[in-house]
Amino acid sequence: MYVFISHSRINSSYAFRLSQELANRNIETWLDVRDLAPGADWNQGVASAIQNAAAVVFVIGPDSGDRGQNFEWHQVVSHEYYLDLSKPLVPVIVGNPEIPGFLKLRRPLSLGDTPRSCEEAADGIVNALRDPASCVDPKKLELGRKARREALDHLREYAQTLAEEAVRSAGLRAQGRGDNRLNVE
Amino acid sequence: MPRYEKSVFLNCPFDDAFSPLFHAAVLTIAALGFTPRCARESEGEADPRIDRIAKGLSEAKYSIHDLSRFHGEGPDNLSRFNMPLELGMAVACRFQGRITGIQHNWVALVPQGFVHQKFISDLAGFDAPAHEQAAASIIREVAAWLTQQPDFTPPAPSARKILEALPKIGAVAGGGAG
Repeated sequence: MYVFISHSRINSSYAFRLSQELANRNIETWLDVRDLAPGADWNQGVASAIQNAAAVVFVIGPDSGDRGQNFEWHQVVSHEYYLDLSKPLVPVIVGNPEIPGFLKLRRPLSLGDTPRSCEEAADGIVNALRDPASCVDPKKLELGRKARREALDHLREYAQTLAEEAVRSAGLRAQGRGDNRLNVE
Repeated sequence: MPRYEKSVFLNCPFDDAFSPLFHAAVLTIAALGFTPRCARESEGEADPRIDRIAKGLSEAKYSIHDLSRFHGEGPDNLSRFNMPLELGMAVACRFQGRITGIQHNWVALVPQGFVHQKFISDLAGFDAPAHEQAAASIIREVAAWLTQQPDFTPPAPSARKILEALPKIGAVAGGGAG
């Protein structure tokens, strides 16, 4: 069992500090720069590591989102791991960055430059591993469900609009044929 | 007027051949809680088309640009430049946002393989999502991109659920599911 630590290069030092704190708590971590075998295909290796991880920690800072981290985010969303609320996905934020939408239901942990903040973040990750529900924000989950209901209402409206347009265009065609018939007559 | 931060401007071909993919993209945008917008909504207005597109882009925080069709067409074998032109406008919106504070983010969808590196090499450095001219891959890539945006609110229907709903929309719209 290990925790995948997703991070952009600019936040590598935070990722390694967090990894060390988790190691102190007997939690294994996976970091691409350290754990990918030499010569291995980076994309395949990272995709496989995310798939097999017990949890994914996202170190997100103001300048996050380099190509490597974007690929990791893409893996999480395209395989829809983010929809599985039993899988701990833990945003660990440095500063005041914008959090990607797919992580909005998850309670973020803060990480600063002090050893104490790193210890607290590691404790939070351990808690999330023990109790995945603890990292889900129930208020945001309810808001999200409300947004989903609204989205479904919009979809129904869209389908209704398309249906009305289809009827209208069919009516116009029928009228056209009728006009032709009148002209012929 | 739809909310700016929930509006997604869709820039793609509007012909019959692309129609199933257009509906797949629209359905995905709506299913994820965003409002799909496109140049068709202002058809019939007196303004020049390019102005209407610029207005539409300026009213949407997000835009999706399909560059998957790049071959020459018709007896003169000419390719259409509308999509890259409108992508350029979106790129400008994003950079302008650094000054005005009005954010805009865009994504370009490209054909499978790396052929886009030949016909639009200025996109080098962007990992543009690719699709296979099929509804399933359009839904997958549009959903993957939108769910990463800060204005996306989870949870949302899975891509599989959206794909399952598409034939119903396609049937009503008079097109297949692709």
